[in-house]
Amino acid sequence: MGVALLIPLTFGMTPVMGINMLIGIYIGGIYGGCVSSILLRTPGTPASAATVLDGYPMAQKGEAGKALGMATIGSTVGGLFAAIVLATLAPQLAEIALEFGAPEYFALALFGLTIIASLSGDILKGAISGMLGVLIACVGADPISGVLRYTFGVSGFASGFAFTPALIGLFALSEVFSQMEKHATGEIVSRKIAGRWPSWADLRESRSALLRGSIIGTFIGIVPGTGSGTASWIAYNEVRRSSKTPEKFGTGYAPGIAATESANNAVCAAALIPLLALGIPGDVVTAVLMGGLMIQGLAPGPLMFQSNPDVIVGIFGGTFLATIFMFVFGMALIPLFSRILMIPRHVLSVSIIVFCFIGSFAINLNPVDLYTMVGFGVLGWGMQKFGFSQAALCIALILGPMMESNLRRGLLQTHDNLFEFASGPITQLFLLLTVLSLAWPMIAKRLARRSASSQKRDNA
Amino acid sequence: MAAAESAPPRQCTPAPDGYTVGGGAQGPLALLPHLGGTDYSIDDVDFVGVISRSLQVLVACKDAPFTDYDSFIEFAGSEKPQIGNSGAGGANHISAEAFAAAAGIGVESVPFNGFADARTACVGGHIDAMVASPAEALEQSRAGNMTPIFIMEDERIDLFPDTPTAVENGVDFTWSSWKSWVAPKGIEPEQLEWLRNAVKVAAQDEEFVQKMTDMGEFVVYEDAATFEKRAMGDSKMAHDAIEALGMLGMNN
Repeated sequence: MGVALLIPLTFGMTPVMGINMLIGIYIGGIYGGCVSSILLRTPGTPASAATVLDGYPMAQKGEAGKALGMATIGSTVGGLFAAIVLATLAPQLAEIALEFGAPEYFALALFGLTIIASLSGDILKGAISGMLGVLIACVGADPISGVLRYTFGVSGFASGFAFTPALIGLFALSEVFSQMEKHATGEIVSRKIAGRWPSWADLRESRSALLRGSIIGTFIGIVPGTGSGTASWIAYNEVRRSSKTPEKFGTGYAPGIAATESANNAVCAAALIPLLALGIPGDVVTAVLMGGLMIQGLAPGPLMFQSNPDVIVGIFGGTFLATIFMFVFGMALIPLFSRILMIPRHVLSVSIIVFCFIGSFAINLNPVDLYTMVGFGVLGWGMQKFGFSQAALCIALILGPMMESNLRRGLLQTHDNLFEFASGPITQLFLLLTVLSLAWPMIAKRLARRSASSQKRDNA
Repeated sequence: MAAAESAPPRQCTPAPDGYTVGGGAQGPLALLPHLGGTDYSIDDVDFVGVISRSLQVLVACKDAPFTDYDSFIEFAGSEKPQIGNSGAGGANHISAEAFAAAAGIGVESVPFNGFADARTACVGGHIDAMVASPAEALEQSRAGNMTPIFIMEDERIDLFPDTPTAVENGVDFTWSSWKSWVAPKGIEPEQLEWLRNAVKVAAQDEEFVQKMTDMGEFVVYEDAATFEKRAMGDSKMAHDAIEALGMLGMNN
């Protein structure tokens, strides 16, 4: 949103300067979301919702500085990786993005939803949370027929529950409720702040997480209309799945933070690829960026590489610089950020509640968003209390609508022909990955049993 | 969960005191009441003046089986072209259907979640055609991703001197997305006159026109009478198209 607010400031600047300022805000904003996720369990953007999973527990263990440091490093690695890809392969990769039609998006969303199965300890409760999320996502205008669903005559719900207020309620307000409960029962958690640099051991452990997060983030960023929320969840899941110690995830484990933060910042630079190479904005922020470019009299698209190479090179350079500055300022400000936790818990809780309301209202200035936030807060608190995964609900809210609208759009376009729908190679690849992802726990168990039995044989 | 576009208000009961005026866009005034769920209709407003219009071009998408108006109509005779739009019941869904009705052809509308998604599908060749703004159609047609089919105006426009209008092909169809000022019905005549003059002066102010043009708006002032004719015409056309789609009053 900051990007849209500051567009008027760029009118007087040269195109490269103006657009790089907007890109800087975009990159900084996606990074900044992790601070409130880690310290307060309040994701400022859907992109940083997944960072809550390991960032917040780490901060609760008294290692807020380390969590923020890991997030900063992760964001920087992801950002630089995608910036290199942007500067070297933009036109070639943009062509892949164009291959994505309705069936491909559907298969990608379906694959993403399988994360729910591996994220939830209790598969039944995870499934219930996911289903609930898909149901909640049905509120609002039907994507194909336009009929309003489950709005009960409240005009504010016509476009569904607003996303950020729902997340703020689900994660932040619910946490305040839980804290108040603990406070009343006298359970006090220690709140030390330690350091800002993760240890070498943490970094070594996070190496593959950073790499996977960056690659996944870059790939998802190139596909228009998917966004950093999707990327960070998929990255988290893939890193966890491939880890030798998946049980450590969710307890404040550095690779968990590295995965989500490298993925969501990789999306920023990668989302510029279809924008610059094709004139296609991948999400709301890049759409605003495109507006900023057009105001400067530049139409992003394949021709821009020929007509304004200076601008293109300027944007490439700006993306690198913005990422490096993000790292410098992020690292320098960690001690300041972490001081939030020195505030007495009851004062902090009250301020968080105030900010929950301000944050939810400020996005659309719509009072209905406040009801949404409070409603999701109560729901989230209840889910936490009875062991249902809030993360599963969050994933379903992000991917459910994408899956539904693309399934129905694809069937509309193929005249309900399922074979034609599933005929594309990309669709089949993701459907195959979906099956593998669901079958993975069983495969892993069998592999473990086989290696255990062969070890036994070796020993005997 | 639509993040791209926020829904227009559906409840609106302002006082006709001369101080309460509204920014009226085509969607909420001419389309939404027919879909239902609003507590107002276009008959509840007094027309003040139009300040800007966004012109519309029907474009063929990448690898579409037609490249100009004649081959488009010919193709539509054998198979329904798939035309993308930015949302079910939205302006460019209704305009595509209204054109099809006027031209006596069949089309298959494919709704997307917002304009950006529809454009992506168009450039990727996943749909046959869509409605675009002239500036964008120009850029993408230079890149070979879109081909302009016809302009939804009375006359050809400067950006596309070689692209025909529907009117010159004998189909009585024009469509543009307008932004205007309206007042609640029942306002004092002197006050209405004052407001109309104020909008006329403001919309022709050089600095205003420059700023709006910089921001990509196509500033055109239209007086109340022209505005009323355009709005009523659009509302009638939208009503018929929405009725034919079976969407009339679906949200009541």
